[in-house]
Amino acid sequence: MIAIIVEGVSGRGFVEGIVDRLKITCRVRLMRGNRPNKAVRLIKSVSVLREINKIICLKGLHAQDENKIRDKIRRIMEEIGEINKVYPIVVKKSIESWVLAGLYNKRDAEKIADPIRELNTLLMREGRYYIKSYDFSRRLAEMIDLNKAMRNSHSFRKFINLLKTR
Amino acid sequence: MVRRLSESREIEEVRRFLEEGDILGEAWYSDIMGHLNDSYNS
Repeated sequence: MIAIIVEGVSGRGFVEGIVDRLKITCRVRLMRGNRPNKAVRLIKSVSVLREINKIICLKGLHAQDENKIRDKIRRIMEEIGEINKVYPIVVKKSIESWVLAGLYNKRDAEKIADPIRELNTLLMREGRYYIKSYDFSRRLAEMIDLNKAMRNSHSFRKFINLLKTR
Repeated sequence: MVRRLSESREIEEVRRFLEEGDILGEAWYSDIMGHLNDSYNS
């Protein structure tokens, strides 16, 4: 079974929507805040479960510098040490970028500076607005075209490939 | 419904989380414990 560490409730909603579509069982754990220590504690605790053979850690890039995020991930990996089943993914730039890639076929989804604003703008054209919540994100995960999202977002493709491989 | 944490299937993971220096409330928030249904997401 796979464990997935996400940054918040909307991330959890999106991820659970995706894994349900792929009929994959997993355990999702929430990381509150942006502290590497929190991720380390979650990874170490979920790794004690015998049924977990892979831990995917999703870290949003948001508006931050990619080198800083990669440095943060490197520190997390150093801290967890002996646990070799951890696969970090830098989400570019956030879960909303994956929605833009899969729902609106945005080819440059990973390069859009403010994916939340962009998603909200596009939804407003359809008479809706974006609510960052578990239910709404899960619904978006059910609606996106997985193939388009994989084609338009390298980080989403990496995530799906990790989910599908043993 | 009241369940003893020590008798729940989450206990191993919660114990490790606390040993690493975190607190019970965070374990609940992080979804490590507190599910009414034991078959949660599996």
